[in-house]
Amino acid sequence: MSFLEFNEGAAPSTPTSGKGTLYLSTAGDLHLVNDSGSDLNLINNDKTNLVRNSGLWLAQRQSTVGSATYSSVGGRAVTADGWGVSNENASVTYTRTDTAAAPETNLNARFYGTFTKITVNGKLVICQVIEDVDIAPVRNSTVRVQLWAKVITANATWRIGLVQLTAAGTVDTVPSGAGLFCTAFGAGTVDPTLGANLAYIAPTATITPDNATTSGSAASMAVTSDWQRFGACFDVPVTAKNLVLMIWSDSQVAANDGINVSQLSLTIGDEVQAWAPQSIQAESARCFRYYQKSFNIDVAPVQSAGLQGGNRGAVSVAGITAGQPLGVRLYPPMRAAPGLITMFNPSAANAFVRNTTAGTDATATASANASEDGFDVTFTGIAAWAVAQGLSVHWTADAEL
Amino acid sequence: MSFFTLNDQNSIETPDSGKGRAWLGCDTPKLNNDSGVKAVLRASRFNWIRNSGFWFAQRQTPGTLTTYSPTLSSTTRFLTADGWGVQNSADSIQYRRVDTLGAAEGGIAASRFYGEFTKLTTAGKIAISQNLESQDSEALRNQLVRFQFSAKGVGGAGPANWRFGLLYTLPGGAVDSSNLGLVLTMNAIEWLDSPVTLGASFPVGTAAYLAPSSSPKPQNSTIVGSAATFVVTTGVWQQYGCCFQIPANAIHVAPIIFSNASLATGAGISIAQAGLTVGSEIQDWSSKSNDIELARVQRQYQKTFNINTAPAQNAGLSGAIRGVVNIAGAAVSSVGFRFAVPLLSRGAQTFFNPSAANAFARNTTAGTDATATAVAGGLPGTGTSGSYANVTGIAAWAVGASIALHYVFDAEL
Repeated sequence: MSFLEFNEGAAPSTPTSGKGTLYLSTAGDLHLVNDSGSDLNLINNDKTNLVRNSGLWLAQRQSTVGSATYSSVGGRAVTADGWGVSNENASVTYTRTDTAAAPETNLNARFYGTFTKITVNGKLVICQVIEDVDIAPVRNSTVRVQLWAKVITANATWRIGLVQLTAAGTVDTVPSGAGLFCTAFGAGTVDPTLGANLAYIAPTATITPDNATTSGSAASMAVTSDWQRFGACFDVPVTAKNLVLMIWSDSQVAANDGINVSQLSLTIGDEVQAWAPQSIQAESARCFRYYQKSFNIDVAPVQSAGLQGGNRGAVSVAGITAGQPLGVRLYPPMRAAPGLITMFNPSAANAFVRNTTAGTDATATASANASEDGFDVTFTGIAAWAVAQGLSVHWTADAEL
Repeated sequence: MSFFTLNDQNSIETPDSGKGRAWLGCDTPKLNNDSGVKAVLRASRFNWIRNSGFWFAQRQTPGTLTTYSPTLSSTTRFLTADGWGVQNSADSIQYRRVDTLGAAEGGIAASRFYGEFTKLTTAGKIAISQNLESQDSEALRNQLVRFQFSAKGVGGAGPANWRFGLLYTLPGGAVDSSNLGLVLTMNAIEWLDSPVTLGASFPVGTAAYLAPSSSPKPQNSTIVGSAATFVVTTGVWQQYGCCFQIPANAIHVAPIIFSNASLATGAGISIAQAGLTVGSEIQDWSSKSNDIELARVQRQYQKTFNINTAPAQNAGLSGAIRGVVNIAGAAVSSVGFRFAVPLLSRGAQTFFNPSAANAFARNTTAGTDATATAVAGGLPGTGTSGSYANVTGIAAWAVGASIALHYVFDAEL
C-alpha cells in the first residue's frame, strides 16, 4: 500500500499553465486547482438523494398558504408529500414557508417545512418511508442522513435516526395506523418504542456525526434558531426491506413550538453532502409516484372548487343507472394502485360526479378498477339525465407509504 | 498546508497489477487502475438548463428553418427551440435543429442535435436566452455556478465576437410570468460592454447582469464589463464558459448569449451542449434520458401533436383529444383532458381543427365543425393538471356524436 498524506489548509495559488495542484481543504476535502484557477472538490458531494420532496416544495394535501392540522397519535399522518408525522398527543400543524422574498441565512432551498406541536405539550416524530425499490441499492452499505434545521422558538435537542423495516416485515408495508408506528413515546430523552418489525439502525461507530452526538440508537442535534446542518452515518443491513428517515424531539415540545427542516438527504457513502436537488419538474414527478390529484399543485383538494382540471366525461346511459364509468389516467404511473381514492364534486359541496350540462349531481360516486396507471370513477345518475351530457369530477389518488 | 502538483497530459500507460495512477488529463483529475479503467474523480453535476441538447423544437418542424419575429422586435422575446427565446434588433431570425446522426461533428460528439440561429432579412443584433423558473433559480442561490456551451459560427463572414452572461432578478420583480420582463432593448450602435440594456418595461432595480467571476478564469473567453466576450469561427466548434456567483436573494436567473455587433443577413451562431451547473468545474456535458428531458420541457409547453410535428390545422386525427356532443344543436359541449405533466402555470392555449383549416373542434361523426372552441372563462378556466375545451356546435349536431381537436398549451417563460 502507498499513499499521499496532506495537511489541511487554504487553497494554494493557481498553478502555472499546463499544471494542476492537489490539496486538502480545511473541511477535509481533496481539491484540485487547475491552471484556470478552477477549484474542483474531488469529493462526490452531490450524490443521488433517496429522499423525495427533500426541499419541501410540495404539500399537495393542503393549501400551501397557511397551516393545516394533522394528528395521528402513535401512527403516521402524511403532511408535506412524503413526510409523515407521529405525535404523542393531539395535534401537529404543518406549514410550507416560502423564502423567495426573504431568503434565510445558511439555507439555499426556497422552501422549508414548519412542524408545530399545538394544543398541549408532547413529543413529535417527523419521518419519511423510503420505498424498497429505492433502498435496495444501499443495502449492506454505509449511508449518510443529513438535514438543515432550526427551532421555532426554544433551543432544543432533537434526534436523527434511521429505522429499518426488518426481514420479518412485508415490503412497503410500514405501520401507519394510530399506535402502530410508535407504540410508546417514552419519557424525556427516551427514544420512542417502534411498532412491529421496525428497528433503529445504530449510527456507524467509526464515523463522527456531523454537528451531532451519537447516543444510543440515534444522534442528538442541538437545534437553535439558526439554520445548521446536521448528519450521521448508518450501516444499512443487507436484510432491510424499507428505510425510514426519522427526526424526533428528545423531550416533549411545548405547545406552539417545534422545528423547521429543509434540505434533507439520504445518500450512499459517508461523505458530507451539498444539498443538490434536481429541477422542480423532476422532483415533482418523484412525488407523483405516491400522490396525484386533479387540482393545481398548490391548491388544497376541496369540494365545490370549480371545474379547473376536473376529469371530464359524458353520460353513457340515461336515467338512474348505477356503475357508469369515467376513466382517469395517472401520470406518471404510481408505485402501486392507489389505496385511497377520493372524489370531489367541482360545483357542489358533496363527493359526487357533476352533470355540467344539467347542473345536477349523481347520487353515488366511487372508484373501481384502480391500477398503477389509472382508475374508473363510477357513478349513479338521476332520472333526468340524458345520454352524452357532460360530466366532471375532481379526485385525489393516494399511494403514499 | 501541503499540495501536490501534476502536469496536464493527454494519456498515461496502464499501471502494473495492484497499482493505480492518479493523473491530470484535460484539467480533470483521473485515475487509471491496473485494468486500464479511467475513473474521473468527480461526478458530473445536474444541468439546470432545460433542452440543453436542443432535442426539442415543438413549435416548429425542428429540422426546417423557421422564421421568428416577423416584425421589428426590440422588446419582445420569441420562443424557438423549447426553452430558448430570441430577440432581434431588426426583422428577423431563423431557427432550426440540426441532426448530426448521419454526420457526426467533431467537438460535440456527445450530442446528436444542435441549434442554429441565423439573422434574416435585415442586418442586426440577436440575443438568445433561457429563463429559469423561480423554483429552479432559487435552488442556485448563494452558489458559484458555471454557464458553458459549445458554439460555432454560421455564415461566411469570418470570426465574429459574441458575448454571454447571466441575468438575474431580485425580490419585487415578476415571478414566473411570461418573459419575466427580461426582454432587452437592443442598442442600435456597436458596443463592447453591456451592449444590451434591460428593457424599460422591466421595473427598475429588479433585473441586472450578474458580474462574471474572474476566478476561475473564463474558458475561451474574456470578461469585459458585465459579460464575457468570445469569438466564434464558422464551422469550428469550441467550448466557452464562465462562472457567476448567484446572489442569496435571486428569484430568477437567465443565461444569455448575444451578438456583439450587428450581424449580416445569413450570419449567425450554432449552439450545442449548454450547461448551467453548481460549482466552478468545467463539465463534460451530459444529459438525462430523453423521457426525462422531454418532461422538463413539457412543464412549460405541451401539445397533442407528435413531438417533431409542428402544430397546424388540418393535420389529421392522430393524437387528437376526443369527446362527445353533450347537447344537440348549437349548444356548448365540453371536452376534457389531462396534461402529461402538470404545467408550470395556466399559460396560453391554442386549438386546431384536425380535419379543416380553422381553430374549431371537429365533429367527426357529422364531418362538420364547431363555430367556437375555447377554454371556459379564458385562463382562469384552465388548471395546471388538466383542462377542458368548450365546443359550440351547429344546429345539425346530434347528442353523442364524436368530437376531436388538437391543442397547444404554452406556459413558457
